[in-house]
Amino acid sequence: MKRKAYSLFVLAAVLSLMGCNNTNNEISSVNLSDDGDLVRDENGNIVYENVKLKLWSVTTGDDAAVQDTIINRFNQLYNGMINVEVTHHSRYDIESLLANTMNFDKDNAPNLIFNHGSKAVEYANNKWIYDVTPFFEKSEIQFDKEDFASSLLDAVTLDGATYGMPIDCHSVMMEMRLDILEKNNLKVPTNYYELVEVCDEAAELAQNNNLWIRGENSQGYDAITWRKASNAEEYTAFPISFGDMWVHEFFGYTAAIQNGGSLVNPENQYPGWYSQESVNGLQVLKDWIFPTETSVNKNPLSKDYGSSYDVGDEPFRNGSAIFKLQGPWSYQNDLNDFDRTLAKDGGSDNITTRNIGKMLALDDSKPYASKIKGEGHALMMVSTTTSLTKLCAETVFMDYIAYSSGIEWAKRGHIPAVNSVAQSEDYRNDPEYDKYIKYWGAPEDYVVVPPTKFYTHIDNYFKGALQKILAASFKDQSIDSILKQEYEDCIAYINLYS
Amino acid sequence: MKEQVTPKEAKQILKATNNKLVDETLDSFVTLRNINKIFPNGVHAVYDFNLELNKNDFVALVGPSGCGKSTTLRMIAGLEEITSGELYINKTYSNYLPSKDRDIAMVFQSYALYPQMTVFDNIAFGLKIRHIDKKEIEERVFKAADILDLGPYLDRKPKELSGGQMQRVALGRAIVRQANLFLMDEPLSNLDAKLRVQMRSEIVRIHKEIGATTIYVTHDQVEALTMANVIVVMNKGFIQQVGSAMDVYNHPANLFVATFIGSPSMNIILGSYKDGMCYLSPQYSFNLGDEFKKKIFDFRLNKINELQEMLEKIDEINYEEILKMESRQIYKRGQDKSNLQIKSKKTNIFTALKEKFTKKGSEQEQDNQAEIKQKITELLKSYQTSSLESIPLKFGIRPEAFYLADSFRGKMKSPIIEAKPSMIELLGNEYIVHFNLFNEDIQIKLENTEEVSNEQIMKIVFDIDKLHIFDVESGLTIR
Amino acid sequence: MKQTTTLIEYATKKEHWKNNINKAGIVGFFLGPYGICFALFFIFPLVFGIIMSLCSFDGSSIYPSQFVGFDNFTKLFTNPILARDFWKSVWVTIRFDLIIVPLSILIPLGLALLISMKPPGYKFFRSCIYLPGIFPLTATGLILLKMFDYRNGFINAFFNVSIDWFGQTNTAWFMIGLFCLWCGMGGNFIILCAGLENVDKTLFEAASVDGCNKIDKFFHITLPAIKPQLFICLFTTFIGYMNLYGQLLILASNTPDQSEMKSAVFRIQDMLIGNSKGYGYAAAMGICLGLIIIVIAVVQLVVTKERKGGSKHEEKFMAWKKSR
Repeated sequence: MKRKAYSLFVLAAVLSLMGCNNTNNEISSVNLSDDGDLVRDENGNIVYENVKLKLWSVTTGDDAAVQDTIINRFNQLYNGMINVEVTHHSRYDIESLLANTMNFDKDNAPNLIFNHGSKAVEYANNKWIYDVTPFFEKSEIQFDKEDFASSLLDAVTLDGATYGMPIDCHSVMMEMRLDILEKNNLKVPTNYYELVEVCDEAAELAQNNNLWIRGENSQGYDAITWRKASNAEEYTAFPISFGDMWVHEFFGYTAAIQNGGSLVNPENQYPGWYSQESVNGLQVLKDWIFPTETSVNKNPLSKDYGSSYDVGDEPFRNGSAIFKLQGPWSYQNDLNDFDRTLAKDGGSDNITTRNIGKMLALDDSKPYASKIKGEGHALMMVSTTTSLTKLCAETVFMDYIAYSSGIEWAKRGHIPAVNSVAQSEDYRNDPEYDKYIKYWGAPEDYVVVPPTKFYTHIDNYFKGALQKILAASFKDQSIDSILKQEYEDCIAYINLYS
Repeated sequence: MKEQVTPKEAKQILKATNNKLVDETLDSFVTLRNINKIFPNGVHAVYDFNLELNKNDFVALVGPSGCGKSTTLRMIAGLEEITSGELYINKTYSNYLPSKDRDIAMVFQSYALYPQMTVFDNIAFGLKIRHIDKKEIEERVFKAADILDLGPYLDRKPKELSGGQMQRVALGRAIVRQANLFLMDEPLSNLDAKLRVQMRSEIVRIHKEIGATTIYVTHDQVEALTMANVIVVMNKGFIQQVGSAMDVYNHPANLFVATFIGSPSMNIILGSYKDGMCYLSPQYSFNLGDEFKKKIFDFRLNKINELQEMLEKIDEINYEEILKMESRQIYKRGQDKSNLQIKSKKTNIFTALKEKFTKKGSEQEQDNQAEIKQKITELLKSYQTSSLESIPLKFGIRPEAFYLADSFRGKMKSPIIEAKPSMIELLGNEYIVHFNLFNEDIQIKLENTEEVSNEQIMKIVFDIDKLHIFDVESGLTIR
Repeated sequence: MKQTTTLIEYATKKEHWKNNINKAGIVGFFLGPYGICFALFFIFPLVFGIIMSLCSFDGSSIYPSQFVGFDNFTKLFTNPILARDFWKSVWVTIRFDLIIVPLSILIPLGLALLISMKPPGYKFFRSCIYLPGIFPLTATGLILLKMFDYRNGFINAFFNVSIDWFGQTNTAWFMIGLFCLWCGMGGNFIILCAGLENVDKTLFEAASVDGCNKIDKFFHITLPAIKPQLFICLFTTFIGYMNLYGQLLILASNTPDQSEMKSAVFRIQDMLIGNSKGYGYAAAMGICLGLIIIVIAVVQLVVTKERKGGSKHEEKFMAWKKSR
């Protein structure tokens, strides 16, 4: 028995040592000096014949459905020439799936990936994706870098090489109850101070039992009848909760950015969010829930939601809130909802939407006051593809997606990354644009996390700091000290790995 | 103790006597009066147990399996509830006292040693629980260990001991308690034969040394005969006979005691009596004289009177009343009410009683009355046969009462029986010779110096003085 | 002559060999599948883990890139951030263990005792007690999150309190403990129930005669009789909760002070996110944790071992006898 165990041990050790010696897989590079397997016609244009491409996309649900229609349109347009087959994976699955495939199963790797642009740098460091510029040159499709939103393009650029084509970006937006604002003679806010004014006034009106609200709630009130808000507890017009994705992914970062803070130090890719400007920005959010004598708002704009995961739709719907944060892709649902409940009194005209630009800025004259922290998608070319025909076909596809799906994709809440698309007639003449898309801002307003190989740590530690800042149990600790602690931890971990 | 008192007075009295009721009118040490035990499923295990024990008595309860002896012992110990009757230990009314207050010590069949404690701790456990001084505990334990020769084993755990040693530890545990009453529930049945004999004498020796009253339950009649000075023979829940070893052996009260006591057991022959002559078989008879004639006449007359009384009583007394009275008595004796409220047939004591006296419930009461009446009438008739007709009787002769015709050493010689042995067993110092006589397998004991052989016809006689005669219907001894 | 002797020897040898191969074949046939699984899923990861802990990773592949000896281990003790985070989490885990293990044995013991009295309907209650253990961790955790939600939760509404259950560390740990107990009760309960069934009934009678009340009976008869089962429960519960991770991930992700909430395995998992640079440290942490658990288990074993009786009583007896 002892001998058996011993021999098993040795066997296992040998196997694992074999694994150890397995160095990085060599990525075969493509020779661009000649045509490879390209087929050209008499005019010198590339002929694509039955080129099959595989695309992995990080969109799911309704987004995936819309993306499928766009891709089907492309396939019909290029019928017989290029065909793109797409599989959708959730953002949580795709990372491990990609890692496993690129390490063990290269034959089944896709040709294209549609993922968040922030991943491009990581993939590039792993040598999983190509620099796309030379392929665009080869296929003679124009990649006009000036036309793309600068932040989005920067996110996929590393050492001068562009590792993907940005397609879109999105962030959280805010919705507001026009009917409540009107009834109480409050105006639609356009910046932080106006927002605070509206909320403070609403709170005071409610304290004096003078605030008119309406909305279906559990006590039997229907959606249409106006009632006075009860003064049993404080009226908080704009509830936010750290557990909500809107807050910890977008709102927190936006607060820092709109007050001058930056996310990444461009020189060494280290975190850049430890600065007085960020502290000022985060103070805005802290005062949102725990106002002090020195804060701009006298009354809290939001209850302390503590460890609750989200605020939910209820406060906005039943009138105990005037504003709410929401993802732009759900706006259609809310419109339908209000169409139904308030059908007899204006329906969906009772709500409207705005972007969160300037809503957290202490000085809205500064150029960064209107910036919104968002997240963008990009199409990337996987480095396992060696056929030049396929690579060129990929560029055709990328160009189509970036330029020809603007308005449809925007209706799902994704603003196009291309400035010219956002200004085109197609885009602006669509009725939906006028109704709400226009409120969501231009591509240049959006800011994504700049390229950094320490993305995971920078992101995690900032969110950790934000969580502590908004927590009741850390109320007495200064924002500066919390941010400093998290910053130092983050740096320590980054240094550990280099 | 049975006078009427108000609850308040009762409380005061109990407080004054420390919750113990002493009845000074009794002069025996342990008294059991009309003890009954009915289990919740209706089984009546012990009927009307009456016994009086004096101090220093060694009482053996013997009987076959399931006769109720262990149940009686457990009732005395307090491990079973007494359904009805009274128990007095050391003149104290003990029905409701918990086991630890009854001043008893018990030795179990399976020794029941605490497996995680050493021998010392096992023996000392009962004393430790009662918060006796450590020095005193040591003194007592060492004394007991000395008596039982357990010195070298004091540090061992039970699993490191042999059967005999474990038994001694159990005995030691009982001894140190210095209780007045020892209860032993078949303590030697788990040991091998040789050890059993050895331990038997040990127990007797300890009893002499310590002198506590002991109640000893066993199914082995040899143990009972050798160890006890009072033997209680039980069968099917009833006491068959109470007496000393000699009494029980030489003067058994009924057929069961006669055949149970003695090994090999008494030979029982079905014969008849007519006109002064006893017939073991149509060819073999002898005369027992006028004394016996009178005895048997008196016996039968008594029986007839008894049965006639019963017959009269049946007509008079309402059966339901008898049942109700009986069940009410039993019910009152603290039987768990919940048992009676369970509606199932098995657990209802009232129904169980009914089933005992009647066949099925109250609807058939009238029929059952008639049935019992009929049974009694039949019995009556069989006793009333005229003395001119032959009366069936059972004759009992112990194997030792047989002799070879030439070497008779008894009091009254019987007519000679000639027969060929069917089997001869040599037991070392004696023979047991089997004969096929009188339609029975007769066994006789002979010294090993006698000549016996399978081929030859032997002449045997028995001592008529040692002849026992039993009534066939009731099994009671007539002579 | 030599030829024939060799023949006999040869034949005997051949028979021996055939016999041995036959036996080995049967053993291999039955043990084979298990042996392969054992080697694949236990030995191989263990050995590979040890190798990983002696190497460093460069982040681009999941295979080690460089052999660095015990560097990872020294970093675990000397690097300020790594040491602080890891050892704090080990301490947090041990602290939780010390509280949860007694509860996790006493509460099932109490329930087992109640069930052993066989009250009406005890079979139903027995299955009810075991039932929570079979539900999936994540689903129950999510339901618990919703029930104890600070603003919208059922518990806060029903009892009219306003406690942020998952927002402060002590209430969060209370919730984790509640969750662990609720799920884990069944396992220990079954073991203790089985143990209680096997207690010798005559011992209780002997104890009654000796004069024990119910409490004495419990401590002197019941507890010693179920000692083996108690030890099994102690070991498995302790080791199980040292590896606490799932419950924390589900319930405590939203607690602000994460350094108070993360357990050792949580920190190890943290090393694995993102690229593979942290794999070496994760392996080293895992091995450290394993060694700590082994040490504690050995301590438990030694302390609870049965001791030989010694001979003090015998000596005292000899002395007493002499003095007579």
